[in-house]
Amino acid sequence: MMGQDTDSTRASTITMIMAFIIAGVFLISDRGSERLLSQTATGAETGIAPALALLSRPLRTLEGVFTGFQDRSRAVEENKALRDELYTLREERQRAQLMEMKLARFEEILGANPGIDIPTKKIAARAVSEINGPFVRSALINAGSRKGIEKGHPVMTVHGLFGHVLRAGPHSARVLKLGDLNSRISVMSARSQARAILAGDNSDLPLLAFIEDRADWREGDKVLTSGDGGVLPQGLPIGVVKTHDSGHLVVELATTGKPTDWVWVYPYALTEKPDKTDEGEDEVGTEGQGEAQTASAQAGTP
Amino acid sequence: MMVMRSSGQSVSKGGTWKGVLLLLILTVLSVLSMDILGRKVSFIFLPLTAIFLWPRMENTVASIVSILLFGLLLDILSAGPLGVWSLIFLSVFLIFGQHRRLKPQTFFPAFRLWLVVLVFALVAAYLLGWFAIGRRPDIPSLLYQAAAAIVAFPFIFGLRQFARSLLSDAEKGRA
Repeated sequence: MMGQDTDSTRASTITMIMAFIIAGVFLISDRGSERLLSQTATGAETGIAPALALLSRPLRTLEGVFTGFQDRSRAVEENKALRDELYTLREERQRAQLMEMKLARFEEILGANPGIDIPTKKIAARAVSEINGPFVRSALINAGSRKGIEKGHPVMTVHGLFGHVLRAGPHSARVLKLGDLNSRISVMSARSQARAILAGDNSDLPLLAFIEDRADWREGDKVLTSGDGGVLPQGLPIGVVKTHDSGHLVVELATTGKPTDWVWVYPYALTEKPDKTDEGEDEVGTEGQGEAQTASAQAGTP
Repeated sequence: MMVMRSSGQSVSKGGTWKGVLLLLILTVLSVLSMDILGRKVSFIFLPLTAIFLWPRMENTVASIVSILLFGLLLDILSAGPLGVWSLIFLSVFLIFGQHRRLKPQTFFPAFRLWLVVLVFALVAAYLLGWFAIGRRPDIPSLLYQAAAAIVAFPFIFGLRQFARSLLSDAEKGRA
């Protein structure tokens, strides 16, 4: 009996040491690199997404109750603000229609048609799991490659850009949120067209980084995707510029503090770089650029 | 080095599956989030409750393997760095498992010990996360999630006590 206990304790000790070693190896191997076992991760997410969708329904209902209370408590003042906004927007719409007509006329004269690169097609999905953790900010949506979702596609809510697809399984996709440490988005000011990079830092207020000295950024500026690099379409709303206590410019995301249930994915195709020049030269150099672009996308930079 | 249980300690038959079942349920629940008054609340520390309440088991090897695998599963589902939750779970199991004979059966002593476990897990998550992602994890997120786990503990403890009483009644009935 005593011998059996000793054997059992020895087996437990060896198993515990082995388990620590395995977990430690995973931690060290995964550090700063593309996620290990990404196929396993996609498989696990695809398997669990339906269960999470089912379990999240009562939570969404409960959220609706909380939101309902909040909405009712400020219904009167919101109604007044909306009416004022409606009057302003009616006037703005007339101006916009006039501008649109003028623009179309100029485009016709110049023979140019830049168009708007936001796709008209939308793929709807539910955010079944959202992690706002200390290490990562991501979400799992219950639509994947079978519906046409691919890595890099922008994910939107009614309030604005939510993130982009990090990996897509057949029936689910992992979305990297804008606030995540690995998220880097090329953005611009709607007022001045000034450019910057929106760099997530695992907080609610991602940083505006790589701002040029002469770039005109001000508190209150509306931030949109710039479309630079051809990875995201231009003009997707992101949030509003604020000055952080540290003096840095940060962005208050339009999606922060809003319940996220339904989202949609824009099946936006990357702007492809030419494979080769007309003369068929420089093939190697262009391939290198393509690889760099892929590596950049893998690191979470759309 | 490690005393997982003494020969005199009472052992519940087939305890491992109960722990695994609770761990599975809490792992799935932990990756759900909820928006309460404009703040997104996640329950990532919830599976730690299952490790804390892990039954006195017959097969420690199976328990350790299950805990390792569920830690990795939580890392994958939460899209965090691989290995962080496995190491935290195993550490809690190792350190607090040794005192299993002292594991309180009533709520308030259990809650006090749970707070100690949570503080330990918070520190471990902070340090391991710092190592894994190369910069300090967001402390408010850690604290909010720990707070959610504190709030959830009484419910899980109550449910567990309820399930235990049901199971013991059923066993008595069969006997």
